[in-house]
Amino acid sequence: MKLTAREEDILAGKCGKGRKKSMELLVAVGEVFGAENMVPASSSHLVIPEIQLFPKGKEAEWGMEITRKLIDGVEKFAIPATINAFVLDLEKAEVLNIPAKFVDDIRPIFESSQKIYEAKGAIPNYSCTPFFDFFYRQGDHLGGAESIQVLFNNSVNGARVNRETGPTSLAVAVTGVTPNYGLHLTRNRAGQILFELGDDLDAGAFTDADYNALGYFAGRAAVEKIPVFKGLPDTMNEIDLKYLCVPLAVTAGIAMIHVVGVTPEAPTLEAAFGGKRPEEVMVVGRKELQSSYERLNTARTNYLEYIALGCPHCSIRELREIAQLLRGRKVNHNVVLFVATSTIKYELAKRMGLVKEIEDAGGVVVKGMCPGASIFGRYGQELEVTAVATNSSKNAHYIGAHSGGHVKTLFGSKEQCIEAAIAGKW
Amino acid sequence: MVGTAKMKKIILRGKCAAKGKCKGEALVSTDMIAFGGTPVLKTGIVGEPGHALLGKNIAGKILIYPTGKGSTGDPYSCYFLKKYGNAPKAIINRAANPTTVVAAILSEIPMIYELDRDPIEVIETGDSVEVDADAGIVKVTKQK
Repeated sequence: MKLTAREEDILAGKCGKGRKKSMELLVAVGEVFGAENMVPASSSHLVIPEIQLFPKGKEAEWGMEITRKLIDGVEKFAIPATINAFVLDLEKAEVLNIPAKFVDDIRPIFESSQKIYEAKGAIPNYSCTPFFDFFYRQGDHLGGAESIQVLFNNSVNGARVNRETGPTSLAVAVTGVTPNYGLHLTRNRAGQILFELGDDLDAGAFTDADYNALGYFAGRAAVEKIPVFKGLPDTMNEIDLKYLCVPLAVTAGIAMIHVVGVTPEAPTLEAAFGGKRPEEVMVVGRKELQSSYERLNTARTNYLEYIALGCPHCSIRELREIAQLLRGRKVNHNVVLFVATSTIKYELAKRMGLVKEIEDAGGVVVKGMCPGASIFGRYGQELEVTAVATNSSKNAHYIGAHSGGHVKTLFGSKEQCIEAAIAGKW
Repeated sequence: MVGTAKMKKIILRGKCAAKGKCKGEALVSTDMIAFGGTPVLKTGIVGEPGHALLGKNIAGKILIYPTGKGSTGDPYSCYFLKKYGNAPKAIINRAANPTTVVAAILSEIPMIYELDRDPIEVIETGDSVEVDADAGIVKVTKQK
């Protein structure tokens, strides 16, 4: 790679140990993927292991072995950096039926680590959907992890970010640059596989779960090709786009999609494919969507303990819709319904009265918390959780996978989830 | 070994993503793998519903699969697998995914990708495999 004098200085260790280690990692990734140079990043989105997936015991220590090396001697991040969701909203732990011991176990590292990153200038939104909190311009180069951040920013905002990792997201925030390969280059952003909707599907009537089911199937079929969806309504809002995008990094490693007539780099089918022909064309019908539903519903009874909404974190529009669905209703006392959003949107929702509406109905709104995969996937067995309902394919998939299949999942639309919360069963 | 002179050896050449040399037994997956999600970290046993390797242990194996998938927190999961003693000895992929490359570099697991022949077709589970990632060479000794 051809580096600037400043980048060479960082690599030589003239700007401290953490910056050197960060640059080494970015250069190593750049070399593998054939980057010719680094590009300045306008922001990065951090995934910090010890506050999200691994907040306890040895694993928290091990995670910090990696992260502390990258920030060693770094007083402030070079660019704005948002920060991903954490494992638990400590203030709501009791109403979520999370034992005090669990809270005590995670609190020391959890709180001290947040302070460390905030002192370096991280924006404390604590959310997997920073694109509902922060501005991204079309063409911006970003660093960052969290697969929905990558998918949404590339596809919907037209910003440029590779599907990288927690450690590289930190390295980009530390150095302010990112290796120039992959989706940073226009030539790599064209669609490769076309998904057309079958005649037996009415996309205009799709629920959030249907968008999930479509994306979940498309990921399995596309594997590593950039999907282009044709036939989806041009009225798709950020909730629909979020749920279409999110499963593509669950069943595959996909970092970008195009939706013809909806996303900015796909005004037409031709533009979506960069003037080339699709490598493959697939028709998705009712049967394919049904296969997603079957894989995501692993529970064999209608029993459940939790209903988790807001994976990925809700936008204000989605919080408003959930509040509307709960108006005048009461969540069954045998189950816990909770809804997750960022710390920033939580404050907004509180001021708008949405938090009160949801909580008056017996639901819980949590801020900054990853609503399922982090806590039930990783610690479900320890917390004696057996079944969780969700409207998110990502949540359902990872709760099952991370718990080794011990925690069963029920997957359906937010309307179905809320009905289950009222009835106390699926 | 005397009497097994017919044991076939195959040499594959690819690119190095993470340096290192090792020898071990092949475990081949036709499905993609996420370190956080496919195996259970504390056991190394694949628990992902519907996965081609469901119930198999990846610990200490030369792991061959199409490419990485899953969460961008994957390098951490891989590092923990290693700390628990359940990481694969080496990774051989058709295509490199940044999550897997960073995982391999930080966990010091040799990784080779883009080989001159499809490793998933050439290598079978149980084959004896020698990996020299620095040189980008994979030596396969067929067991059948």
